Amino acid sequence: MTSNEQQKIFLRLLSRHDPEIRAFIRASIPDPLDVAEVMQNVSVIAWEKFDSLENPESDFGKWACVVARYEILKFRRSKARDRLVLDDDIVEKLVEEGIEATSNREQWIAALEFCLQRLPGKKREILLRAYHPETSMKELAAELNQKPNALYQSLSRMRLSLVDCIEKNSSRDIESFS
Amino acid sequence: MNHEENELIGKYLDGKLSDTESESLHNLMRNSKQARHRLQLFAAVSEGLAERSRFVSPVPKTSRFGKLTLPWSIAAAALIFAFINWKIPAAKTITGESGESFLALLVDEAGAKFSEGNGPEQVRFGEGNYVLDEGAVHVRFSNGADLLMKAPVSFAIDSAYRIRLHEGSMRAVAPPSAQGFTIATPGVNYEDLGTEFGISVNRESGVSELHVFDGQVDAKDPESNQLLSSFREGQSVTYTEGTAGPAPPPDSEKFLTPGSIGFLRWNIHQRRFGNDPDLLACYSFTKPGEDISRLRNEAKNGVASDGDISGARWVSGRWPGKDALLFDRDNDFVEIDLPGNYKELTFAAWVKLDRFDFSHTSLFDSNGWSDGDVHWQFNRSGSMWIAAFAGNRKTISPPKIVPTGQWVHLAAVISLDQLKSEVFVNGTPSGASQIPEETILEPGISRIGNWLWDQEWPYVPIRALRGRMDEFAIWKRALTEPELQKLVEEGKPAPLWTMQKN
Repeated sequence: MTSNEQQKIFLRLLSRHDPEIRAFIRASIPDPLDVAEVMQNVSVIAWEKFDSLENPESDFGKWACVVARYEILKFRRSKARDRLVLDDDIVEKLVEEGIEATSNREQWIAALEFCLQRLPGKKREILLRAYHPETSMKELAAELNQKPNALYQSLSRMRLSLVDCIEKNSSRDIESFS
Repeated sequence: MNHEENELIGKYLDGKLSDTESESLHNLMRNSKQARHRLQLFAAVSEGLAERSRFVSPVPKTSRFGKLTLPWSIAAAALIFAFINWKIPAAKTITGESGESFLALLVDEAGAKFSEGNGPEQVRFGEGNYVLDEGAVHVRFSNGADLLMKAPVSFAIDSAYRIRLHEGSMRAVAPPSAQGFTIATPGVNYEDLGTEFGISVNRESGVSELHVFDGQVDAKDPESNQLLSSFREGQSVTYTEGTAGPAPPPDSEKFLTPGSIGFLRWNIHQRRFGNDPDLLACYSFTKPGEDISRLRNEAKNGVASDGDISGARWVSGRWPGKDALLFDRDNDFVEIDLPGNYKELTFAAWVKLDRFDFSHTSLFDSNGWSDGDVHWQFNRSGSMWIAAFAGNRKTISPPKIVPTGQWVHLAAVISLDQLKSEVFVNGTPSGASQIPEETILEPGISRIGNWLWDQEWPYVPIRALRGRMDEFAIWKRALTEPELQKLVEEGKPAPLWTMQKN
């Protein structure tokens, strides 16, 4: 296989699994900017080691999380202790259990779409806008004529309802349709 | 997980933990595998939302979503509807009333009130004086000439070819069969030569005003019947005591068209209709001035949300000036939220369908297909039915064929109280079917003109509507056949439209 073809396969798999890998990192590294930095390192290292992956189509997601595990620990070592939110022993557990939960994460991300559609259109729009990287919470609150804290509370409630909905629906089968 | 624990996890991800909260989170994470699992889920939702947010702009806009990226377990059986031998009945022929003596008929009106003793006999006009105090009317003479007028107006009918306009304005549309049709005014008679024109009379000043919209009109002296002058398309004139003068441009408010009377009629009924306490949604498809991606719910007590228009474009509806949405691409739809649980539901819409491109075409489909969902659809041959999900059994009404290429009124009723469901085309029922008692009606988030299937499927079923819609309403009770027929009558696109119906 030419390197060009390899690259195409790699990019396809990386973009398909991107949200799950980020989610895996996010559990241990809460700041989204730090997640972006780690994710960038993960994609570089994963490409370097891509040759060694035997069944890329089936194993990429979990394998990328193993790569990310080292990048997470490396990132933490590079930071001052007081900048780390969680202790090492907890991150160790989160990372181990997180690699095992790869298939769960795939289902969660897929179920998110379903659960988002269950939210009223207006709420869904506000929630997604709030998560847009270019959105400033203060400006969004001002635009909606709400106090930032009230907006934060309502966004938290929406996120919690999504979490509950996903938990309920991520293994749901739909039997028939009309 | 309790509320406090959920809050700790949320604050951790949002960078909002205080020192004490951080300590609590450590304890929780160190000791509970379940809590760590929950944190993984929270992190997935947060990252998933960030990923999804790329499909919306940070400025306000209709939300849009990409395709599912990953499959989840699926087990399904396709449902096959075999509707055969459904044929469109032969169109009825137009038959006039015979043996009645009248010169003209009232073919359409909008809130019309005539003065006591100066109105038609029901819909029949004979010789005599007429005074329209309120509303607008469309009168058709036996020779085919049409008069359209809006109150206040006062006139007399002398014969099928001659009327006298005392006061007010009217538009005359005279086909070749009505050539010579004359409108007499103080000091001048206007004689038609196969044309369309508008005439106004001011009783106090005695001034008459003529605008020729098409063809030719002769102005004649009423005493001698001598030709004063001829006027052609685009020309206007005023006459004061037989003397011609310049005229202002025609005022479209004064010279109604058949379409504008239909639109007026609809507007009058629409205002009353919005007050029905059982109305959950009333989308009258009036294009908003500002946010054109919003379809307003105008029901006074309607619990349904405004619609989010995605893709569908604003075009014209049943009459000039009436807005409609055109659905003609696979991703065109309007999404609404209809919260709540109902015992009865009635859906009604005015549509002009182009084609049925898919095995199913959606009029109104709850997103997904599970308990409480409602689907109102057509199959490829144009049979319409309504279905509700009820466990393993489905509630499905008998189907009814819907014609394409013309405006039609469609309705669907499901009643758990009467355990029946039924669809209607132009007020004519399909006949009711029994429905299972376990049926639930909770439509939730739904799409008009499309369907969102919430699972990854070997193929993506497309149910996009092809055509125009200019009214859509939902009630929380089962409307009766006479009620639906009244809606058809009030919203009919043209005066003689009922005669074309199937």
